[in-house]
Amino acid sequence: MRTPLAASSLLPLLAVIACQHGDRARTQGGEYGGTMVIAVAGDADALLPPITVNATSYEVDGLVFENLARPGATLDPIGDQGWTGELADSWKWGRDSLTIGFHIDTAARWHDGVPVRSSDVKFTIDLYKNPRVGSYVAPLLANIDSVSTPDSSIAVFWFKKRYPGQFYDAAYQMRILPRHALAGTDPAQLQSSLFARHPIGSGPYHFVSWVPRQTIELQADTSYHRGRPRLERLIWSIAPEYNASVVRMLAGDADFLEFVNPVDIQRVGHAPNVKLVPYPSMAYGYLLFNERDPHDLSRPNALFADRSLRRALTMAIDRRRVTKSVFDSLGSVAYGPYTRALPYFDSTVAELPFSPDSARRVLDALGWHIGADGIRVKNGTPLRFSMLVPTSSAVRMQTAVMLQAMFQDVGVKADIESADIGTVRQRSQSRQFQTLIEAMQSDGNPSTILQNWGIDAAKAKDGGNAGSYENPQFDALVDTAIAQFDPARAKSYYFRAYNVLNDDAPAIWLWEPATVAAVQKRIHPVDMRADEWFANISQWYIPSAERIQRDQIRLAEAQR
Amino acid sequence: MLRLLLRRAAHGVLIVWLVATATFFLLHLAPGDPIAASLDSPLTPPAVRAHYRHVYGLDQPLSAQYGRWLAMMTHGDFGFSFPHRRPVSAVIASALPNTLLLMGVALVLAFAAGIALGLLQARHRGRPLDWGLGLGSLFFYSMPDFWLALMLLFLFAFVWRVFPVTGMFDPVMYPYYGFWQRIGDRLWHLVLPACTLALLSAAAIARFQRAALLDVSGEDFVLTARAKGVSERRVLMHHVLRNALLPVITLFGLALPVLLGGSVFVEKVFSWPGMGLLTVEAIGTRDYPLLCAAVVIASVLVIAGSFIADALYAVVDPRVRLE
Repeated sequence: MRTPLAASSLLPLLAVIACQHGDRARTQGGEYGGTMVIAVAGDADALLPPITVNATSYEVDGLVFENLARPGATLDPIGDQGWTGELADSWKWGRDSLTIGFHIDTAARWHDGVPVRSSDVKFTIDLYKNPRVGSYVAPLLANIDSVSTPDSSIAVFWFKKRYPGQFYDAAYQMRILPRHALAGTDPAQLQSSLFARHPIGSGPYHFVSWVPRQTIELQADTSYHRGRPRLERLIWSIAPEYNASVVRMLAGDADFLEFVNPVDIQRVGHAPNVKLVPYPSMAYGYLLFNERDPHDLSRPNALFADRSLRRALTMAIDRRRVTKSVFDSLGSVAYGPYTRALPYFDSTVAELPFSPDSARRVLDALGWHIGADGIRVKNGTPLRFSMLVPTSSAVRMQTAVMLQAMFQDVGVKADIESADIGTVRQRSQSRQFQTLIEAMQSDGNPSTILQNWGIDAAKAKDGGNAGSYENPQFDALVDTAIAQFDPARAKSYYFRAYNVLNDDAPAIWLWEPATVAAVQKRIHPVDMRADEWFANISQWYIPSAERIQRDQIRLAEAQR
Repeated sequence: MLRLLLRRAAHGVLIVWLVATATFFLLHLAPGDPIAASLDSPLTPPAVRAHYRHVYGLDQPLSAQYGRWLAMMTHGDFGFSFPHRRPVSAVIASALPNTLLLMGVALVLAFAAGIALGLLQARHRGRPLDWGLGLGSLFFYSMPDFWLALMLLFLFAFVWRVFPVTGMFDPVMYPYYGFWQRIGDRLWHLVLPACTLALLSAAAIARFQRAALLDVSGEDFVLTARAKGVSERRVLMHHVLRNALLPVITLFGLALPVLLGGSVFVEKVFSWPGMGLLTVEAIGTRDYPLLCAAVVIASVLVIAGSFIADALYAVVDPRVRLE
């Protein structure tokens, strides 16, 4: 059974984490070699960026393939401030800002030796946008009209309109693919093509092998155009059982575990061979109200269509206590549908206070009076609803239990309804729930907030706005923010939109867990980015004095 | 004899069809589908989900989907696994041999150990060794498979570090091993999962074997052999054991479903990439084609086990042949 960690017991440990993390600043030296085994829970689906959807595929793709440019640490999606070249070594905006010309690094080569050309960029966007491919990225590229290739090293993006996220869309939404390797493949058959299992990219690591459901191996590309990666081999070792991955870390069989559950922090942190590395989080959790009747989506929900009721329920919840109980010091209260790692995080947003007395008063005023059994009743209907929770999430189950008690305290009966994750997903998409405890991974681009809370996403069948929250003022503010070229002005509009959202209380924002990775001490991570922990892995290294047997396999042997 | 086997084979085909059909409809009646489960991000545009539902025929009426699936099955085509982005046959081809290897080794170990233990207990009936072994087998017999797996993992892989934690091979060194080193590495990784499964089954077999041996010990032909002055060891091995194997052969047929069920947990705990683990993952991702195929294969294996047990029974017991 899970028990909350005592705050005092974690403080010394966190101090150690902070000290350990301080070794980022160490001199990196010029040492190359070593093997890093990454423990992951699931296998990749396909190693083809336009269609891959799972985390392992995304990680492997991110190292085999390249974007045109990469964002800075702030992940700012407006303009190109802070961005550095990846496959492109420079770029130039057109005078009317409707074009961006990217110059492809002439030293860039595909892993089979063929030079990367601008025609590969044009081929890539055509492929992403091809409806027969079914890429989930395609709608995000809707504002890119076309790509022209005036010469073999220049790809010019033509946009349908001028907007602040132009550079982000062109440089970051797509990973560039080799035309020569894919041109002959039927786009509809891409997912089952040989390429999807033996990819050829231009990134810092090249593909070596994939044993389904067991391992994926990459090897450093020694001639990588942006400099040879330090770690020689990366091996994703797949173990679906999380506890087995923890044991493997402790036993030294694995070198990296992306996320350590809060309950395991102490155990892993005390292992002599392992260090804990905290890094910015993109995840947050909330209780979502369904504002439509789950039995007839054309009708408003008898309870949650009432804004005042949602606000009263929000005030009944002590979010700090929930966060503390579930995560101890390894979590923070969420302010809205975004996290502290994002450039558009707003800590000044107006929050509904925790005030059970206010909640009771509002409920009384709304006509919900305490009945004989302590549950509020209005016109003979009890104030009762279900909270849908996936059984696989201990954190969300624990949260549900706490919320249930807090709702009970103001005379509201909340039943916990647990189901397997597949059922929860389906019911969320079809809006067959009363309330849902959801955990979300935020996107670096704040404009995607409309995909979860915008009116279009509420009206679309299967749309991402599962709670059917609708407020034209919120949409208008986000639309205005999206249209701003000045980041400060964009921020001010986003912040106003967040205030509208909090005022309407379409959800109770609960927690934002800290993400803590476990890494073997001989590996020296240089930096971990919130959106892609592996983004700077080319700079990670293992000093020769600290190498173990698996680090000794030399490149020549690996190439055998 | 031939008619008996043919009749059993026909029953087997009918059972497989019934199981497959029931599985198909039950799965489709459950909430969710492979597209909703795999493309689960709220940021996924609905049009993309609709595209894939159309591609895989999930937007068609259930009866049409069933007809198409049945037609494909009769041609040996299990369909396409969306979460794996591969044909189901390819996914199964990479998992089934791993489960057969695990089950095969576990089966041999379980029967060898179970028969030997039963023999030992019968020979020392009523003595401390019999009680001790009986208590031990009862302990393992009543133990949940996942708990035993976790305990063995904890003790032998973490505390004493004798065996590897998970997987079928060393993810780092395996590609650089020679042939014999690879065999050794595979066997090394097989020890814990195979022993977990074998221990659970061996306990049951030992108890059956002991009871069967004691039953046969009192038969007239055993008394006759003893009266003729045949040595006790020879009586036990040649007269008692041979006749006491009949109920154990029946157990062979029953052991397959038990092992298959057990392999689901054991494969998950040890990350053994076999059919059990594949099936668990397929349930989570609502991978209809893969789940249906897995159920069909499991039912074929169980029926085959029962079929083999019948055949063996007929071989060792002439009365069955005459019937």
